[in-house]
Amino acid sequence: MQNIEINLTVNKKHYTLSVNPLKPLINVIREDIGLTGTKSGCGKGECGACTLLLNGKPVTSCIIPAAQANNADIVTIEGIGSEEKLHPIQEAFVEEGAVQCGFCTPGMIISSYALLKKNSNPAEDEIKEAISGNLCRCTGYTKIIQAVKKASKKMR
Amino acid sequence: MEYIKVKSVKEIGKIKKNNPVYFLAGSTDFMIMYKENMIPENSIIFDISKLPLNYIKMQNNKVVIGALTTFSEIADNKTLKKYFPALIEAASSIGSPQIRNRATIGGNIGNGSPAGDSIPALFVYNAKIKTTKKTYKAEEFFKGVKKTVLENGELIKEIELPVLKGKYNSYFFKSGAREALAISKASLACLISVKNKIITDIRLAAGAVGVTVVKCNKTEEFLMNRTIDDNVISSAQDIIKEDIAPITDFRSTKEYRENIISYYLKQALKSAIR
Repeated sequence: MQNIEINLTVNKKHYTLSVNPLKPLINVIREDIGLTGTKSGCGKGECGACTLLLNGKPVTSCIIPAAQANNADIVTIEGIGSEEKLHPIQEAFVEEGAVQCGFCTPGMIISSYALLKKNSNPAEDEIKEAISGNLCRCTGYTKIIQAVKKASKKMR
Repeated sequence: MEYIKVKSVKEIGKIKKNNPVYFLAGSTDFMIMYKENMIPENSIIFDISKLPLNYIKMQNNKVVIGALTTFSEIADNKTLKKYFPALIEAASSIGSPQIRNRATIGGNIGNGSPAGDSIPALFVYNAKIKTTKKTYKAEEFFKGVKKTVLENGELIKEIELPVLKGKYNSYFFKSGAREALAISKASLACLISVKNKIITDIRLAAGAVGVTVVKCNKTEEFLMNRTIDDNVISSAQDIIKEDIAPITDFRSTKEYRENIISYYLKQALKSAIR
């Protein structure tokens, strides 16, 4: 298949790339752009490890073809907070022990970020719903939910 | 394989008939098939994601949904919430928030899975599916597991839902291995109108219990004009097992599927007289 040119903004930086139009977006982010914070898990949109924001909405980047990210505004885990100052959601995840092996964490934080942007004081059910597309095999979710609650307080 | 981004529906007409055509909308099903090498090498892939087919509008007592409308957009729509609650229930149960932000109703229909969660609701609401060739009743659209009436290169454009007159209730139930991201083991949509406990109209459709979504005609006929009581419910619960043809597979068993559909019917009938 012939490569196509795509333009995209990732964490406020512009990129012009020549890619296979059906290359999974996560591979573009990790390999072509070099941002490896977004994790690749199941590759089928079922585990949520590869979640990032595409035009403000959480999506699983492993099942998005690169072509459909043309002209898109993308935010990955690297675009939330900075190396010097963690985002309040990241702080809360650390403080509450919501990170164990850490593989689901970038996706969990992106899903939580999308929730808290829409709803600054979510109920527990709303938190559970917002992270229902993100699997965690370590924590049992309790600490993640506590962390999102704590983050919502920090951000209010 | 050839990738073509289309700007108008017309561009799709210009294809060679012997190349398999795939339409790329939310890509949630396509990308999995692509990764598993299930897309033939001579395919033409039309990216339709930028076509102006993303809308929900009221038109002469019908609600019309553009094929590119995502399940997040459907789940949040006030008009649909008011008139078609079973479709809302189905839309908000599909996949996960991430999947619902991408997956489209046109894709769910075109993929033709008997477990497609939006389809039972489309059956009970008498939906019509409009393509680039013609308009089909939802019930006539599906021909087998992942088989539809669609010809190669025929595109789903919109879905029409007639607004019901009179007092109706509608329900959607489904069962999966977990709440999010599980393909349904079985599902049931029910549209019902009841006056003094007498059923004046009922439509039932079950998912994942046959080669297509199944309209439960025998059960509907039995229930029409009957008074809902424990005996009637119990008889209907047996009859609905004749309407459906579930199998045992890696997702569930024939017996579980029969029993859960039968249980959902009871739930629907009890809710209707509450």
